[in-house]
Amino acid sequence: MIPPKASDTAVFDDICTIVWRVLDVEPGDIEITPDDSLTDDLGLESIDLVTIGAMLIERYGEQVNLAAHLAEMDIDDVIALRIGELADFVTARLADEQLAER
Amino acid sequence: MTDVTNEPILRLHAPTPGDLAELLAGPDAHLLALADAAPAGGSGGGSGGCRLGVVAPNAKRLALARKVVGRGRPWRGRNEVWFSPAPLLADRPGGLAFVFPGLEAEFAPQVDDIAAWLGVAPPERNVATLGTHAASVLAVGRLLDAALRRLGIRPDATAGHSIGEWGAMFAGGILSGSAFDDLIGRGHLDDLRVPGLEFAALGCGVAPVAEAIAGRADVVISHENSTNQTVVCGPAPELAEIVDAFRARGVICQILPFRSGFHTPMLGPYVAPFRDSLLSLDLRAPAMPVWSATTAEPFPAQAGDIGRLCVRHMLEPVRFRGLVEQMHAAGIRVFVQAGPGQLGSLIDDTLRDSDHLTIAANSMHRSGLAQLRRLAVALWVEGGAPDFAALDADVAASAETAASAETAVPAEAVRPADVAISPVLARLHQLGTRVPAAAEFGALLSDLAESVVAVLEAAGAAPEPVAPPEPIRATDTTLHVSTSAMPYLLDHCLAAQRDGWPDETDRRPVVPATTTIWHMMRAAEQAAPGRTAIGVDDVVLHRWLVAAPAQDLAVRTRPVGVDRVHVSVGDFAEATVLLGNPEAAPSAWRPEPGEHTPTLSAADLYEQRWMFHGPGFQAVSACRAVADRSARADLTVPDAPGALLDGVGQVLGLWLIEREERWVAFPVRIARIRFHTAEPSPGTRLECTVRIRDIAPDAVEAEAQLTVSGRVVVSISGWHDRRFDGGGRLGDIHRFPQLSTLSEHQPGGWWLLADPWRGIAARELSLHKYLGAAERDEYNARPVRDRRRWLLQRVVVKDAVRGWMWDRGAGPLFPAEIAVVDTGTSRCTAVGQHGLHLPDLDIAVAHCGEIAAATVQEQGPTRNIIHIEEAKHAVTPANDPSTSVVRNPEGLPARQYLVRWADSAMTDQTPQRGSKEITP
Repeated sequence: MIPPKASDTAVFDDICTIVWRVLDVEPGDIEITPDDSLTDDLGLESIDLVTIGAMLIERYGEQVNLAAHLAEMDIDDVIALRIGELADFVTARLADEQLAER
Repeated sequence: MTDVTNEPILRLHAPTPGDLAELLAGPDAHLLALADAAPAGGSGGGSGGCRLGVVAPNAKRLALARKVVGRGRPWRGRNEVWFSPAPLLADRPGGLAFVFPGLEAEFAPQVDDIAAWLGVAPPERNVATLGTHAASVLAVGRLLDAALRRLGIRPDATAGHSIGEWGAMFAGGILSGSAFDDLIGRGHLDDLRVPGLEFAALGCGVAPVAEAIAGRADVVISHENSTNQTVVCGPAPELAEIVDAFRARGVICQILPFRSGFHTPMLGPYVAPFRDSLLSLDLRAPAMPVWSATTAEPFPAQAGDIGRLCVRHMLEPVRFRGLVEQMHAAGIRVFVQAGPGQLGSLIDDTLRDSDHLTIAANSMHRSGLAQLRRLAVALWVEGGAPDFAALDADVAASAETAASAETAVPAEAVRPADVAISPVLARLHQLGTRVPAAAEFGALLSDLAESVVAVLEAAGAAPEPVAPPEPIRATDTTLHVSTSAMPYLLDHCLAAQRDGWPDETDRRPVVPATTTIWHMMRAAEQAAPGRTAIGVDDVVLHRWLVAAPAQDLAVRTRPVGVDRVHVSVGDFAEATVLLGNPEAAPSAWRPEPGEHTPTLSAADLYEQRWMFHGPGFQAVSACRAVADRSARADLTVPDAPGALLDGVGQVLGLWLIEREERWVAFPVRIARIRFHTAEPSPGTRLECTVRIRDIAPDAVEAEAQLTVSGRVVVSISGWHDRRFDGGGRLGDIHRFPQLSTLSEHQPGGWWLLADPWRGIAARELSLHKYLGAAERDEYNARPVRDRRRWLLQRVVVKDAVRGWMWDRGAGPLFPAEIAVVDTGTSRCTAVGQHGLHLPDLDIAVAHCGEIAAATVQEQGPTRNIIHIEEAKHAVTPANDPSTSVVRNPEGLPARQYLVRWADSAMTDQTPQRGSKEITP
């Protein structure tokens, strides 16, 4: 279990919005928690990660490159990816970017 | 696995989402009590309306169900709720496909409980080598195919991804069970491998990939999987480079854990042994469309063509995206994934914006039977009719043994494992002489031997789900006939009415004979799960099957032999349906000498209303030729069920129109129909030849062949049409009732109608063009012997009124737009219906013997009068100008009449001399 940090709340909300869109449901129809696995709990397939990756780029810009991030993981970790981990990844990349801008 | 078997299921249906919402508005406790009962809801169990299914309903799921129903959009399975406001399979025959997965990184089928349920040994699951992995995937696919059929779920088409295509060939009838075993056992699956080649899945469409590898020979596209996934194949270092470049662009990529070079030209030097094995198999014409991912089209029917396509399949890219798009375009809406894994997500990705359902028959997340339960719910919600009882019946039984009479095959019947081991070894030897890479050979050989053993073991243990057919059941079901359940019937209405006409019954939508036949074939297949209807004998059509008002008909199946079942649809129609493998096709007929080009084009047939069929039944796409005893035309299979064979009737109609005065005809009896391949799918173009066997004034007998590229796919003999009067005015009223009359306008301004109908059937055909619903009730309330008189009078009055209106500039007027109201003996007036305004009219009408007459004027100070009497002997020439002598036309008893008409204005006119003799 990876609880969201306070500062992550906005990112977590964004990710929920993206996942609902990918699932083609209205916001809130399906409850999403940080502990949910994308595949087992939310029923997403690997092809859906492609869509999520594209939507993250659309939302945050090129520096949030899910493709590069997943490339560093092995296949079992990709399959077991949780919403909280996804939020952490985005938060970390955004923080990197802020550092780079200073 | 935390499955509770026999989870309760709540199923509800209602005409509209609003009605469904009302059903759901009740307290949870009430709804929970409905779970596992037969589906609850309004207005019958028809496939129309909208449907909701909830697995293991609880407060949370019911709340979600209320929400999605309230929104009125489809919701397909998330959180165990299924909802379809417009079920995908309702009135979409041919809408369901089985789709067989190929190799996937993860392979964790849950099938042990399914095998126990079917009473067969569970399939081997062994992913040690490419060959064993492939054999395991295929064995699981085959088991699931049997399980689906046990549930009464039957594919209308099949397809597969990569090696899954072989599963599709089995399920679709190209490969028999033993040929399928041979393919796996002798197919040298491990041989199909190019050393050093890898696959990479790229998370983008084909265009950027094609651009990136343009000009390269070492890396090629092997799979166009979906809108957002393309697979490339090449040597590992080159692939790594490409993957890095795409990742840098934010594209998600994955190197796949298979090395084979399958679906690329690089495999070319390695396919010979497999190809030889494959081409030695018994390849049959498909029993249904089996779609090729190489061509994105259905497989051909000839063994040679099938074999060639199988070889291309190994060397050319898998065009799965194009395949899915084409299948959707051909009407497939439900894709049942016959295996575990992610194949459905590729379909969803491709069909993101198109209405469809993908549902897996197996899932790693729950037990096999629990997933089948969800699949059954999903299909029911889309208008399917899975056999829930079979699912429930099992769970108790599966604990027991396979002893029950229902189980497919006793263990002893399973193929023994001694399948020609020595030929396999012989082929191994042969292989040694052919494989070019000698250095690879040792490893290859040992791998291959291992896989062959594993495969043979698997084959030995594998279920033989189609082996001895189950006996055909006697079934009693209900067919709901209405235009909402069968919207295509709006294109098959016998009585045209003004656009926007509110009363559907006045249009007289009828179920075509051939659509009834289609339903009887489906009913027969339901009675014999897993078997296919390949022919129909002794079709008798007793009377019109009218769809408005809606009716529910009892459909009964009664087995009359091992492979024959008698089917009746109410008291409207009956036939004997044949089940099994298609019979060999006869050779195609040669054109009859003396053919000439028809005067009518296909467009003319419909635009000039020689055929009343709307677009859904306009099967003729080109009129080719007519001759003394034959006609030829091209047909393009329309979407509506049965519309193809209706097209055969239209080609017969073409011959009658071109050659005969009396051209209106409808089928009453068909002795024999054979489908020599799977029923051609919508959009298929065929040639139809109809030969006239016999023609009489009231009947015509024909035979027909439907061919594709010179091969006969359907043959028909003993097609009997009943002929109706279609010449002259009857033909005109048949084609353009709004512009034509059955009665004739007479000098002097009155209208005359002599009985044009030879028999009650012909009369009733006209009746529906002339009378609205209320008037039909009136007609039916008349004593039988008075009906002709009554109808003659109605028709002549309506024609007289329309003529009067046309004389004053009115446009097209359908007879039903004018209601006739009796105002006294031989007097009436007319009232416009549904928006037509008529002035107050004074109408006189008279009848005698076989004729009726009417005259019309606007109401005023004078009154119309008309009178008819039979003139027994010589006609007395009348001095009265408003007198005519009328003779019955030919075909009616020789009689003559004296007709007198007048109104007060006319009596003041100067008398004319003589009488007019008229033959209407």
